[in-house]
Amino acid sequence: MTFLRASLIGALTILVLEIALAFLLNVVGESQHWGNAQLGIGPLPIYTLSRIGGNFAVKTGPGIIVVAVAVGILNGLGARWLSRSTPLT
Amino acid sequence: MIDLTDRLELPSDVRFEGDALHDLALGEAYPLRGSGIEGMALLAAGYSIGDAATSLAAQFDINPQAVQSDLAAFAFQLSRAQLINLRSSGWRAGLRHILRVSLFLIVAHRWPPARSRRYPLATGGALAVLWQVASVVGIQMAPLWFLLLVPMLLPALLFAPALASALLALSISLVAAVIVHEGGHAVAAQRIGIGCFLVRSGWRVAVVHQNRPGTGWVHASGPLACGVLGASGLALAAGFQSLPLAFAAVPFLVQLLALTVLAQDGRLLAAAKGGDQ
Repeated sequence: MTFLRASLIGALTILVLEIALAFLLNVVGESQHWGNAQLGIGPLPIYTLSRIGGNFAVKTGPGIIVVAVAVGILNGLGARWLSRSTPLT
Repeated sequence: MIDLTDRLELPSDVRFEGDALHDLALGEAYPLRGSGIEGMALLAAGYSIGDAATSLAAQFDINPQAVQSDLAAFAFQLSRAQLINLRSSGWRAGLRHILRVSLFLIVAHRWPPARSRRYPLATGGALAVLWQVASVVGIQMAPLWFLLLVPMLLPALLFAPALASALLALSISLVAAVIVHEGGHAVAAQRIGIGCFLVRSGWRVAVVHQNRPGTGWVHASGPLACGVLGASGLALAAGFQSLPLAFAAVPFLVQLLALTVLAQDGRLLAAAKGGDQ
């Protein structure tokens, strides 16, 4: 249960942070006049930055789910390892 | 690091009554024995460690240096247990402290163990608690943080002077996020009726509270309060396309990482809810 709970908390936390980062990229990109770009892991897009006309937009890709799940699992593994090596109190 | 001229202060939520120290915030009592009671009585009466040791040595007719050593170790243990605050007095003590820190940095290449200071938190409303946390963080901690932060931000200002207002907002927000984080813990602890106090040690600050079953929300409350504020700030920043507001939201959102095992809150959250491993 510790693993599952910590995995869920970790994944949700990272998902919220990734969505927040999209908003931040939008504000920064708009003010700094960024162009088109794509951030991702290999072919898997995390953020797609695009400027269409005068408007700057940031779209999230399936990569944010992959990153959130991966970090969530790492958090779960970390919690399990910590609870076995030292009591979590 | 104990100096013989140091004096002891009992925080208002710690009492020395009978033969024990009572931690009123955490609801614990720490019995003292033998000469510990005599030593504690002298220290609580305002004697410096050196003067108390001299008095005890005369009273029990024993070697003053041994008593000084024992009493300094006793005061150190009480300070480590966050039951007392140690107060240095006089410019000589200040000079010795500077010399000790310098020697520690030169010889050990690291900061010496920091002396912790305990601040009782009022049992009033959320605003009173937040104000107390803000006064400690803003007055005692923020100048040190800014001292560390400014050298890091100056190069950014040289390369991107247009970001000056955003970086200023970021700096102020760093302090505000810590106030909200620790204030969130304290308010949540008081809401569920458990005692707490604030501890400052070196450049770090933390709320200490009773850790018993059902305190999971107390651990989560600090990061969650910051997350809600940060998300609201970022939504507003996106709406108004305000770069300073977006930068100001970042430290609040980063506090959400405290929910993971990277931070004490996340580890305690797993422990508070778990116990099934």
